[in-house]
Amino acid sequence: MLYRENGQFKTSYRADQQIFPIAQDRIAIALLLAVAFVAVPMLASDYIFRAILIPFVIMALAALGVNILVGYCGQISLGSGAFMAVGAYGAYNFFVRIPGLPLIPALILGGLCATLFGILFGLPSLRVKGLYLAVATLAAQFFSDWMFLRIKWLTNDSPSGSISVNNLQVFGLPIESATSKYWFCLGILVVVALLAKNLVRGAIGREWMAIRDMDVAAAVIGIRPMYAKLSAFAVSSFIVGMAGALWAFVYLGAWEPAAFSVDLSFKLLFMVIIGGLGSIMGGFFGAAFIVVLPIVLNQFLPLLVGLFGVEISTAGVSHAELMIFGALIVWFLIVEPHGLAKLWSTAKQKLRLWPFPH
Amino acid sequence: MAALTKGRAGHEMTEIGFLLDAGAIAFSDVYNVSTDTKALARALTYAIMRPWRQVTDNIEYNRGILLDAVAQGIINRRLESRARAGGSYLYAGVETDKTSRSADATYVMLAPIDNQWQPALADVRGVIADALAHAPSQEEIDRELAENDVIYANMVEQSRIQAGSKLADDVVNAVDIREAVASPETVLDVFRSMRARYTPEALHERTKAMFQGDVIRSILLTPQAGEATPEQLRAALLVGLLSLFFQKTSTGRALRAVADDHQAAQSIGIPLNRIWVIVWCVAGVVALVAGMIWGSKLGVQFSLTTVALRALPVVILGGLTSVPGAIIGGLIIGVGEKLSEVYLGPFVGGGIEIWFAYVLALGFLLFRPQGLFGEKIIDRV
Repeated sequence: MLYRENGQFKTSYRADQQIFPIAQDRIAIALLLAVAFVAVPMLASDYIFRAILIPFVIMALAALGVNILVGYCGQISLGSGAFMAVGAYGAYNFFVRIPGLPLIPALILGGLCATLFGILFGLPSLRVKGLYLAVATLAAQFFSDWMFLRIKWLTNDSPSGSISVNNLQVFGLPIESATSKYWFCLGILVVVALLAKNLVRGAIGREWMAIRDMDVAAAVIGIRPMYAKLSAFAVSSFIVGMAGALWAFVYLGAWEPAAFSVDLSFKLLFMVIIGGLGSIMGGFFGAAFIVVLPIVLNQFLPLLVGLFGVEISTAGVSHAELMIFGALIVWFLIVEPHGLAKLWSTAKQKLRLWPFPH
Repeated sequence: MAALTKGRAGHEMTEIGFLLDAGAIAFSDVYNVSTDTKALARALTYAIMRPWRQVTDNIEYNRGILLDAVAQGIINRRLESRARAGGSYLYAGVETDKTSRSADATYVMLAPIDNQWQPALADVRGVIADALAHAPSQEEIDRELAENDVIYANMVEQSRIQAGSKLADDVVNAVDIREAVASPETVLDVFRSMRARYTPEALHERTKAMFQGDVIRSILLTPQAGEATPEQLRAALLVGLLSLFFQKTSTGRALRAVADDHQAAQSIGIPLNRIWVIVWCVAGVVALVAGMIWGSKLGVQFSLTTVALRALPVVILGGLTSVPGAIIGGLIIGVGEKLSEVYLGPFVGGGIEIWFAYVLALGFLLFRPQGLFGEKIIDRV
């Protein structure tokens, strides 16, 4: 009734090929952006910004990057944490060593460092795939752990190994308050998501998907596997590296290599799988699931068991949180193996036929 | 110019010149044995040998020999069907023989395709391991009995026109190993009178006895010198039967089929649920053993979870489908990690233990994607 494209005639190819061809979608997205940029900052408290919204936005950006590699190009990567670390340390080194370098170029340079690193460790993907590739990218992860711990030059010879940045500014505006950090991250996320969405709709995105679905067939119809795979690694690690730089600069402020451990790589892979492989939307859903759910569980578990008159300790809550979280991941994947994005598209499909389904 | 013709009508099949163009090297028949080394096929024979002992040559002993013949026939038929189904060898066979009052041996002979004698040997031993693990089915036994019946009955019918040289051979053989030679009629009678004794269990017992022995000796015939070393041959023969069981038996093949493609495996009747139970049980038990050994030597902490991550480069290095690969990969990674830390670590700032295994596996993958002992992945379109 409400959501259908009847009567919306396209008179040009441009109109037909736009990202959201249905007017209702465009309105919904505009509303969503308005809410995200205007309404949320007015309503959210400082705690919600720091604990939920900023990590969610940055993780969504990282998941977007991982999704391009894993979801669109089908190259399993367990080195996303390493790409984030390279982005963060690369941006840090440019930021510190070049006086007066603005923040955004530093982030982009960090992303380019991650791109180079990603292409280097993406080279094995030309020879191997599947589990073998996962191990090859694990090498990137452990190598970067070691590199940032042991090579003192990269951490600006800081004695403790922990480094920090401050006085962040964009166009002369300080990025200090929680709201400004949120706006900054959200702005970058929106721009990158738009770019990514257009990339995966274009020729290169189709090449990635062809490689993912069957590499031999793709090569037969004239897609260069080397170019497609390495470009997926490059684009993915650029986005992941930017996310890593944001994570370090904006969210953490001061960090050490342990912040980008293998756990983070697994988390990102979970986000992509739970959210939905091969879907830009999936990255957002997955990031929301992984970032928000533990906090929600942590807050509501004591209240929930309180209803039954049971008191549980703080340690008990955090244990229960881990267990329920794990069980929920398994349950979600059994119920909907294609991730939350699939649920979303099913719902949309249903809505188009409502109230007269055939 | 000469040609190969068929039948008296002289229907021409091909010209000799074409055969030579196609790579034919030599022609041979019973009287003109080819001695050209290039024309000799590769062949591998190994024998499981027991010392020769004087036997009590009664009717029970000869019934045992007839049982052996059926058990052997079943294995040979399996070997043949494996070869026909695209195995890694041209032919293979099992034979028991007593040699001049010195040895009682079970010979396994095979001709590998190309110079890939190791996979061929593993395939053949896999078929044998399967036969040692499970009793044959009644269907296989019936088929073999029917065939042997024909052979023995045929011998009775042809006994009148048997060539003298064959009789002489039999007599010489009988003297040589001091065993009686029965007339074809007796053989057929004994064979038919003991129908009830060809049970799967009895044949399984005989099969197991057939492959027991004190020593293994082998000969590998190669057209060129240097295709294999004695050490390689020895190593290939020493691989435990247990790992062969997992690699080559029906259960092991089912596991690999499921790993390859769930749906295809299910559609040819592999019980997926049972396979998954087996896989998780075996994986759990093996991991449990590893955990217990690790814990008893190095203590148990929660950080043990990262040890599992280090098992990944081990299997990658060794090859994902190989049990010996995992063992050798484990040794290489375990020793390599510590040695690299001691000898290379000081040059780059130490602590390289954490990534050495992965980078080693990564470098290895670039040159040999299937790992040390893994199956080569071939994409078929």
